[in-house]
Amino acid sequence: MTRRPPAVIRDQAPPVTTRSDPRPASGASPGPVASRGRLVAFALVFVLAVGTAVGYSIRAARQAATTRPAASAAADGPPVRLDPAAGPHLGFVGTDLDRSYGTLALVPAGTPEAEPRLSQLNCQVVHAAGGRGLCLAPERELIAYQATVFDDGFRAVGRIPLTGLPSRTRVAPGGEIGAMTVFVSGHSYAIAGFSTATTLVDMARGRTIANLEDFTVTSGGRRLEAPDVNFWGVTFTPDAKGFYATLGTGGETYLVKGDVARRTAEVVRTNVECPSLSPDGTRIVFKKRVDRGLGPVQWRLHLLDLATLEETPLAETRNVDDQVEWLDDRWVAYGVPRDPPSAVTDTWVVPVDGSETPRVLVSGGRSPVAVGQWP
Amino acid sequence: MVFLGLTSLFTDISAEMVNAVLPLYLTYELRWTPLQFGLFDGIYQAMAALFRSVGAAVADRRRRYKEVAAVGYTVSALCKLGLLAVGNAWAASTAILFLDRTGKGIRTAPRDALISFGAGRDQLAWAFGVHRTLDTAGVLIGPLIAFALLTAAPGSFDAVFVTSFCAAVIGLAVLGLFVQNHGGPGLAPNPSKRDAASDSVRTGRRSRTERVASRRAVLDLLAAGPFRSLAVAAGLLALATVGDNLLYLTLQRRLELRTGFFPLLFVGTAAVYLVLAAPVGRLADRVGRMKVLVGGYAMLAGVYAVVLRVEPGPVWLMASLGLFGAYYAATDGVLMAMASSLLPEGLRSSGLALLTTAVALCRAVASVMFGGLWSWQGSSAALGWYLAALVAAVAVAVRLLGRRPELAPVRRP
Repeated sequence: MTRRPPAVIRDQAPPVTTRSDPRPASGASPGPVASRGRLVAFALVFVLAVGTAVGYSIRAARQAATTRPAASAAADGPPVRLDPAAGPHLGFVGTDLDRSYGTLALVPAGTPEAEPRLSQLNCQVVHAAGGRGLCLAPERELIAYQATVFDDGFRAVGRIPLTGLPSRTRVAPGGEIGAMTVFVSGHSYAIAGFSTATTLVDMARGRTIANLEDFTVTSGGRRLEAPDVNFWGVTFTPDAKGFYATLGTGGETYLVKGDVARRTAEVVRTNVECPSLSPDGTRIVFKKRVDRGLGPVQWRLHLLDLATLEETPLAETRNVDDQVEWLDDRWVAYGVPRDPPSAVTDTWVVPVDGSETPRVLVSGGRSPVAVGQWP
Repeated sequence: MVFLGLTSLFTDISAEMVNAVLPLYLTYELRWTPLQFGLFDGIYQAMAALFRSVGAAVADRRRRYKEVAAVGYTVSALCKLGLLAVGNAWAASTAILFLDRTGKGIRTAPRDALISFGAGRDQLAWAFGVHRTLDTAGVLIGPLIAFALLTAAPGSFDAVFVTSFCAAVIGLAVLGLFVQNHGGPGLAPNPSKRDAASDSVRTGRRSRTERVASRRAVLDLLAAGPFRSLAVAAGLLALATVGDNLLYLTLQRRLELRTGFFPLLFVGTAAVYLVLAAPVGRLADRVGRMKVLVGGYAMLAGVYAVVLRVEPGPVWLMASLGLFGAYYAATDGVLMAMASSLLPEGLRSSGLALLTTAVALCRAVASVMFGGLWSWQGSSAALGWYLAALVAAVAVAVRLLGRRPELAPVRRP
């Protein structure tokens, strides 16, 4: 190492000699610390900064207070019901930036373009079946999230606090059991990347009954244990005793088939995310990751025949990041952002047999859910 | 050091306010997928590491520690306004967040160098300890302010960004008005006053030979001498260190804590760290930094042992977090103090950056290996292996550092 020649000492900031003994920094003439002018300057900056922060925050709080009541008063008119006798409906979460934003709304299956009837529920994701539903949403303050278990009149029958951002939710066809996935993202100092937590819900009691991370997972008969195991996107079998879900570990995703009572899950297949089981329980539509290497993540909707394990792409060629909803044994519905990453999302439908191209079912709606028996 | 500590306090309030709401903001407002978020997070961390050595090199070569640090702090402060300005634009927000991290990378090493210049040789660990206390206080206060704001004004991320910017401005004002710069032997005399930004641009165009020479000087630090011993010891110890998140995860699983309590593990550790950082630093200055550093790693071994034997219950939880916080207090600032006492002034910033980067790299490798061991043999076995490795690393570190008279206890007169 070479010794450096001494530099010219700048006049701007007087150098402090490295103190080899705890002697006050002498020689540094009116040191910056002592200067009255600097103290005044700092006081000015401090008052200005605190004033700006407080003033802006108060204004924001006032604005929030005035806009809130309008949003919560969204639902007027007769309460909507999940009544099968009312005929099939499509439920969705409004994404237009008007009063329906975030509100669970319903349109008749036959006339999806009709003026939607708004429920009392505000949800980020929602699913319902068999007269019961799960609505995952931020609490009013947007600092925490909760799940609302609701009945066929969209009345809350139970609330469960969530430990992260709502991602997916499903209710078994008979309404016995539900599942919800949240992203648990930790503190910047604690966690790199993301992890998910998926819990099963007893819909009748409105209570959490299990966390999928406590399930025993096997792959080819061997027990699978890894610190980075994550589950997401559950779909239940018609009898509500079994389920399919995505398992992620080591950068790879797997389709697992689970057993609720025995608390077990078995790996079925790779590269399957957000499976959705058909009403007859024989097929799955899922999103398959198709991108390679760097670049944005790309998923394509595929159909998987569970008997033959044969995969066919759907006629939807765009990137879809959603867990689809089966409307009947042939059509699936899903949300696609209008121009990514716009907040406005439309609900599209496509037949799983590839016979028709996708079309918009509901403009400005996401998280579609089929209510009642669709034709 | 108190003023630098205050700068860090306000800057960390600013940074952690944004970090705390970032997952919410990115996924709720900008509608990112978690996969994008995960990828982003990784690059975000790498960004800081990359710019750390750049900032350090410029600071050392131009002898402008305060200015380079100020550039880093200013970049981050402006980024908060940038987030406000671009609103929901996806690409612009991402770019700004990366730029924000760049600012953090640039400022870290010059700041640590300034802390070391401002303290006497026999007060180095105390100085770093005081700084880390204030720094950690900011880390804890920031999220509280952010969530208080979101409670008062639901959904108004703009208020969070504005407040964050104001906190950053206060931090910058403390730095600019009160922190003393350090002038000393420099490589290139530069009598004209220029702001550090144009300086770094100029440095980029400097002749190749000069840059190589400087880089060699930095790398020469690793060729021999006490600094190499310290770097090797620190690297070995880091290789036996389970990453925070994996340790918390193990603890959470073994204590059967609900995932909602996860942030509390971090807060508990940080609180202990905050309380102990300064007193343990003083202790290190008195009885010898090496002893305290090694003692810190012994406490980490204690954490592993406790976690291995742990049974559900608050006592074990507090024991683990207490030990873990004490480990941080006894190692983080103390290691910087030890390195500062060995590094020549002209290479202080670069040397500290080199050491920090080496330790971070070893920790990353350790985390990946721990994850692999966990998947392969289960969490208990993995922790057992790491306990053994840590004991071995401590033994080697004691041998390596014990022979160095430069690291012997500094007795006050």
